[in-house]
Parts: sequence; structure tokens; C-alpha cells
Amino acid sequence: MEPLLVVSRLTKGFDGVQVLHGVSFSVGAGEVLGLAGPNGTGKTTILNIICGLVRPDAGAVIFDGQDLTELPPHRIAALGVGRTFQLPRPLRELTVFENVLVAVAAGRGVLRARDRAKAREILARVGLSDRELWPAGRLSSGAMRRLEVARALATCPRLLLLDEPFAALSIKEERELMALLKSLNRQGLAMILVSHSRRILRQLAHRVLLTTAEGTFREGTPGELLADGELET
Amino acid sequence: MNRAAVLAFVLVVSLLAVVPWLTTDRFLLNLLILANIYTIYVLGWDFLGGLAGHSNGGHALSFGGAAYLSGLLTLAGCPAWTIPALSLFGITLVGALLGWLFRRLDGAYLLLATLAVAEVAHELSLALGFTTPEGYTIGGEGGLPVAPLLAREADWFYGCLFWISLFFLALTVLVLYWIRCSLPGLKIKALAQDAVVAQTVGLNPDRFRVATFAAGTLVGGLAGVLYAQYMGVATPSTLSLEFSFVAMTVSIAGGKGTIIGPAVLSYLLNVLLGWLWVAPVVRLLLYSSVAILAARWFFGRGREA
Repeated sequence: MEPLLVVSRLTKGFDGVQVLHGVSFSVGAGEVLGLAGPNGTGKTTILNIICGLVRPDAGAVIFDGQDLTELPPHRIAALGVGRTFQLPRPLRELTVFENVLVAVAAGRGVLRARDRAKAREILARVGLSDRELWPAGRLSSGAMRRLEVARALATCPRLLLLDEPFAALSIKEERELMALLKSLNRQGLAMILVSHSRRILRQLAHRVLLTTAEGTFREGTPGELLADGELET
Repeated sequence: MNRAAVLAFVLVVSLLAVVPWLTTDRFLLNLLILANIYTIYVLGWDFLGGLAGHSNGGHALSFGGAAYLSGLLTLAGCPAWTIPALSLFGITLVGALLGWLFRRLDGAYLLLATLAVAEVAHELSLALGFTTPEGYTIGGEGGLPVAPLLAREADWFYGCLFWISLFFLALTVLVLYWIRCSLPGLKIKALAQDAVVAQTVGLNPDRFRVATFAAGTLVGGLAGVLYAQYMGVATPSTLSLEFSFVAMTVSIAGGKGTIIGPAVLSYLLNVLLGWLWVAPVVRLLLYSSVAILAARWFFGRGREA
């Protein structure tokens, strides 16, 4: 079966500092790929390149047979790539409901009743129904992370890019988010999950791509990398 | 708008609409016509700079540009009835073009670029002169004459122009407020708050940049066309930096992006300052003070957030 996402020989440097040195990997439909490694080794840059926020210096990103490398972010989102950010970026002056609604109806000019229903359904799924009329800027950091996931889900993604979604969550919030992501994955949603936690990667990821400060990459199952002592962060 | 706000809006517009039946006083009607026109102009900036968050430092270009297009079309011999529509169409195209050209600029850079374009137009308006077939020299400080649709010497001219400008003001408020509360308004607000996030959920920032620039310039241009029809002339002052400054100041002080707040503040200020015969230089001083206070207040709020 063809992989959903194929990343080939990506290189990227910022101001003379080479961050990515020809990284290649693939993600199958319904697969969760973990991205782990020290800070500054290009994990977020990989996500930014996939979703079109950063152009690579060389290499290609193929999603479902389509080259994403030259496409702008909004086109990539429309093709089915959703993402969350390392530091939550809610649209602070919009309500929680509007944050999700704008993503649900991004491709349309007119709002339909079922758009509202869908936005409410997604908020219920991430446990934010009781705060849908709150300004998003008033949410706690944990709730903001859930809103990030809700907003990404509202774009109907086939591939979800999650940049440290469990950071700064309480144990209860972490458990709820874990259950949600597992449930989404069981429904066939592929994910790339950036995380420093081997416990989380072991629970969610089918494979892990480990980045290093030297610019090399190792790929394997969480079990293999743990056995080698590489996933100790 | 909730029910009470709709009722208040209808009441205010209805009360204003009866003024020409109650009085033919030209001073009062002139005051109200200019308040209508200048408020439409301010709303153009409030939509573009306030709601969409594009810091346009040269909003006078929409007003003065439309007025000057009316003058140039008059000079070209276009029938008077075509001039307002053609001027509006032309200035909207200019707005869309600027939106496209400056689609990668934001903040201070966008402010500077738009200000510079308006200043170029202002200097051109001062420098350019034309000689009519009758041998008259027009242009420069004196501006360009505009062919009027209505007979200026008629008794009903002021009342009629008041109603026309009031109609367009009410229409502008309603349309812009509707956009603000609609799905396109939600998308505009999302892009204004965080364009990166908005793109990753599927919004095209370039398309919205062009559309909001075109719409904001159309509204400012509508005010410019009405002004040119009222005054019968397009003068360089309509393209001046001060004029752009006034739009920004009133919008920010009235609650930028709220549409209703800047509309109310603009109307009250124009009527009050006109009524008191406040000299232009004092007005500018007053607007500058308002700008400083508003900036301080908004900046303070921003830091708290």
C-alpha cells in the first residue's frame, strides 16, 4: 500500500545553521509516527515544512500522491493536513466556539447549520462544550491545548501534526487527550507526534524517528529505540 | 446587532432623516452632510485597519483618489451620471491592487508603504496642472472641478444631498456591521489575530488581503465621490496626511473594528467641531491628543493581555 506521506531528503538551514540534513521518512494511513530528540534538532521544522509554513532548501514532501513542497499552508490544510503548535496559539479574541467554527467553515463562503453542529460536536469530543462561549484567551493552558486539537480536527484532516500536545497538561488532561488521540487513530487518522516523553511515545506511536544534534536520524519502533537506550529523554 | 441596538439605529437615522423637513438652514445641513461623508470615510479605515488589522497609513488615498478620479473623468468629458460609478470602480481597483502589492507587508512596513503611496498621490495632485479647451488652467492647489449630478444652485440641493449621504452612511454601517458578524467577518478577524494559525486551518491570506483592501477603499472612495459631488471640486487636501491621520485616530478612539463605535464618535466630533467653528489647526491638535490618549489606553490593554 502507498504511504500517505512521503518525506524525501529534506534539508533546511536558518542563517547558516543547518537544521535538517536530508531527512527521509514516510507515514502510512492510520499510522502514528513519533518524532523525538533534543531541542533544536529540527522536529518542529519538519512539521512546519509539511504544513507549508517553511519552505525546505531541498527535498520533497508528497502527501497522498501530491507534492506539497510549493503549496501554501491553506492549500495544504484543504488537502487534509491539520496541525497544532508547540505553544498554544488560540485566536484569543474569538470565542472557543468561533475558533473551531472558523476552521470548520474555512472553505465556504456561507455558514450552514451543520457547520455549527459539527463545531459543537468537536468541542464536546475534546471536553470544551461548557466553555464554548468563553474568549479563547481566557482558557487554561491545558484547555488551550485541547482547543488546538479541536481546531485541527475541524479541518477534517487525514494527517494530524501534533507538536508536543501533552506539554504542561495535568495528569487528568493528559489521560483525556491520550484517550482522544487513540480513538482518532483507531478511526484511521494518521499522526506525526512530537514528544519528549518516551511514555507517551510508547503508548501512541507505532514508529519513532529520533533526531540528533549531529543531524543524523534513527528510525525504529519505540521498543527498539528504548532497548538501545536512545529514548531516554 | 441586538434588538435594542437595531431600534436605536432606526430611531437615530429616522430622526436625522426628518431634519431637512424641519429646517432649510444651510449651515446645519452642511454640517450634517459633512458629518455623513466623513463618517463613511472613517468607517472605511475601521473596516480595513480596525477589523482586518491592516495598518493603512494612507486611507486618504481612497477619499481623495475617488474625488480626483471624478475630476479627471469630468476633464475627459464623461457624462456626469457615469462619473460616480466609474470613480468608485476605479478607486476600488486601486485598493485591490495595493492589497495585492502589499500582501506580504504588515505592521509598520504596511503603514509606511500605504502612507508613501498616498503622499505620492498628494504631491502629484499639487504638481499637476491642466489647461482646458477654453484656455483655463486647473489643478494644483485649486484642484479639479467635478461635474455635479445635482444642480448646486437649486433650493433642494442641500436637503437632497443630505438624504443621499445619510442613505449611504446607513447602508455602510449596516453592510459593514453585517460583514463583521458574518462568516467572512469571522475569517477576517481570525486572519487579523494570527495569520499563521488562520492559514493552517485553510484561510487564504492573500485573497482576504486583496478583498479587504478593495472593500475598505471602496467605502473611503464612496465618501470621496459624495464629497466631490457636494463640493464640485477635488482638492489636494483630500489626499493629505492629516486626513489619513484623522481616520485612524477616530477609529482607534471609537473602538477599532467595532464599526458602530467609530461611526458614533466620528459623527459627534464632526458635528460638534463644525458647530463650534473649531479651526482646522485646533482640530488637528485635538485629534492628536485623542490619538495619544487612545494609543496609551489601547497599548496599556495590550500589555495587560
